[in-house]
Amino acid sequence: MSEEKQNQSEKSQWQPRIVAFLCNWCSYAGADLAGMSRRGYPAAIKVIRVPCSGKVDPMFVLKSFERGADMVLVSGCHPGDCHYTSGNYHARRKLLAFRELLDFFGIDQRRFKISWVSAAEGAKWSSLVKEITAEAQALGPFKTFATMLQGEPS
Amino acid sequence: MSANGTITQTLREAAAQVLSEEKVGVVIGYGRDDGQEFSTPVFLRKAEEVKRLVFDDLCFGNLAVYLPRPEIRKMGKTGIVVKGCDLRAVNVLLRENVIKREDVLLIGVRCGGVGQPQLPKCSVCELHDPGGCDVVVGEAIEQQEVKAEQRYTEAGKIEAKPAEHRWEFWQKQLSKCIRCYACRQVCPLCYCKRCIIEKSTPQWVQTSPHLRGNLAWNVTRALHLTGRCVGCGECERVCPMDIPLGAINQKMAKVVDERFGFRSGFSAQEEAPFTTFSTEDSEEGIL
Amino acid sequence: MGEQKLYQASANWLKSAVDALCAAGIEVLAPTQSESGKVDLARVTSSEQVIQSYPNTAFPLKRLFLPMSEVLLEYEKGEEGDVELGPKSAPAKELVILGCRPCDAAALEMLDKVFQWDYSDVPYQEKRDRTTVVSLACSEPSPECFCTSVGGSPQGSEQSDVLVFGGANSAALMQINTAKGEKFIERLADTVTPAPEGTKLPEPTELEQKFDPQKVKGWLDENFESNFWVENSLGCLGCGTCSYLCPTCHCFDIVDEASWNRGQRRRNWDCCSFALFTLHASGHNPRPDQAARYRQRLMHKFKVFPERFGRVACVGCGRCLKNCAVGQNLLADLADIESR
Repeated sequence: MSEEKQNQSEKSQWQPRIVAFLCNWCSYAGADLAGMSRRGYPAAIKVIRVPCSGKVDPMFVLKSFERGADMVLVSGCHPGDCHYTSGNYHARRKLLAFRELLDFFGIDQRRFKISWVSAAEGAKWSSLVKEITAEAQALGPFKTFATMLQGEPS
Repeated sequence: MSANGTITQTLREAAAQVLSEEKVGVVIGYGRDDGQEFSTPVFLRKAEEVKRLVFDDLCFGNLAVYLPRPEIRKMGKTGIVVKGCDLRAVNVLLRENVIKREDVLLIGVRCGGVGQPQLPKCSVCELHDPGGCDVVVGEAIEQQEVKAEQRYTEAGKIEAKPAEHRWEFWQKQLSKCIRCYACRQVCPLCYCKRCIIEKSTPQWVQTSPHLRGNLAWNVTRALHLTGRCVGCGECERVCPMDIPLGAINQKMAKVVDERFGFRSGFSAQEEAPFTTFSTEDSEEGIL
Repeated sequence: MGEQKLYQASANWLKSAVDALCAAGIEVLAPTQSESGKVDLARVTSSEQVIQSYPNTAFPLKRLFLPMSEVLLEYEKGEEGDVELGPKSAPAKELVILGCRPCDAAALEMLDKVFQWDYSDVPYQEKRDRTTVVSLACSEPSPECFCTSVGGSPQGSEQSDVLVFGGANSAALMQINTAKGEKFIERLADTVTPAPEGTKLPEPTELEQKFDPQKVKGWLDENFESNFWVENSLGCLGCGTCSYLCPTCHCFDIVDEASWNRGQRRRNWDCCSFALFTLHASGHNPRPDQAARYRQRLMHKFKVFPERFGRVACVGCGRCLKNCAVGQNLLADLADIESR
């Protein structure tokens, strides 16, 4: 295959890599329900199960980007529904502040998503993943971190 | 002319008194040896030593950084000279149970600001008069009203740039970082016995001074100080590479101020924004 | 070297040298000034970027030979299971450093001793071999300078391929010390001319000796355990500023940074002021407090290094005292030791 052709086909086949941290009690179960109800959603999303959205340290997000994620999603129980009463309230404060910090550095905050998906919301999970995958696809590869991976210190 | 001209003498008297009455085992203050360009920390154990003590407009250091240190605590109750900005750091240490109030004797100075020219933080100081100290020296200084929009001007300047310019700016700044960790070591609130950067299973933050490692380090540092940083500006002063670290901290102070109405270090009792929550917090941006 | 070879050039020698070398396609590092006013050696492509008058550069030469972070090894595993190794070494390109100070050049002697000790360090030596060092003799030492106390001189020629006197406001006189230096002079062509017979080097700049390293070592030999270490390190924050800005400090750490199918082994600067530096996996730390770490730094420079290599690991540039956030003053501490 000529190089040009290869580039073209790579572009059309390019799939974003989305890393999703899902709380065990709601969002993970919601994704499970989507599967059991045979609601399809794009395979671009790679799910990591965590006990609670409150467990998600912003370092998890940063590390995902460092390792090549094009988008990161953190999803937990709706406010008021946390299995541990308040984990998601803490997550909300922490993660939204983190997102503002990313923005301050000039890092595209559209790359970092936060959502609430309950165990009953298989349909929401399915449409959410479709929506953010389409967005990630439209945004293209996350160059900010990709160039840093190649970059050498001077 | 110095706004802090006459304090030295009364400060020495106050320190001599608490030392001779054995109320404290050590007084941490500022001194100035010949040829020094700014006033540096001194540790006085005897009343006779107080002549080493000075207070002038080059007393930059936030001495609260020494309070959690085992070698200082060994000396007994600690007397410490605090400016208003330093007192805020002491309040956070008290709030976080790093030190106990009965283990410190606070010698507050009414400070009119430091630096020649005066540091930007001093022109918007809201604590010229440190409240709640055991001893206070210096004459009363009129407290000017500081408006909310004056507090975060350094962060504001960067916020005003378009996103791609911000990233370009920070890339340039963070690439300079040599990972000497002076910013961490000088910070009174970076008192962890083992910093996350020193934990290697897993290695969350890469220790190499390349851009991705430097970004991870500076993001982590900023987040671990969010809702805690009191804006003393020491990190930026000591950075040998002149990275505008103060602006990052100011940004996060602004975030917690605007989102949660919280400003760190004005009381030793308050709850920090990340140790509590409100059911009414903003949901903006959550899917 | 027997007879000294001297050349003369115009006051503007630095700028004309930059232009001549750049035109010949040689990499040039010369003093430049940043927006914040910091003077440092940087890669330049034109003499317009260069400044000619400055006390010393913010950074010593160390990082050019022992970079802050250096890839020693890298690998990438292909889909077929094949492994590609790196880094691919590019042919070493000639590099000329213009305008460093004699103390910083002399520091290369200490680094050479370490990196050519029991094993010749390849990445270090490659960079040393390709580099020509052209230093600028000091006519006005800064207040923090103390090179004469540690065996150096404001006009010291140690490890300088060429040492330049004057310049900026007066004609320059160039002392050639090595074959690399001679090659440098050839490249400057007609901008330099041999100095007339009988030309003498300028009178050495005076700089008072501030302590005697022999006496300091005598005290260090006897006082591993002393309250001095505790008392003089109370203010020390334990950051790496002094070490990282030191021309002779050379400690490093080796880390592996790996992901799914590829990785790098890097050599990064490290520093004995950090608590982590000596922390054992068991949790035990043989240097448990800042006093022990501060002692290590002084002992290494003024006792261990002289015992092993015959000279102190300090060139008296004064960067550590100038840049310390809490005014820790190595010079004052050494004078204190000497008086004991």
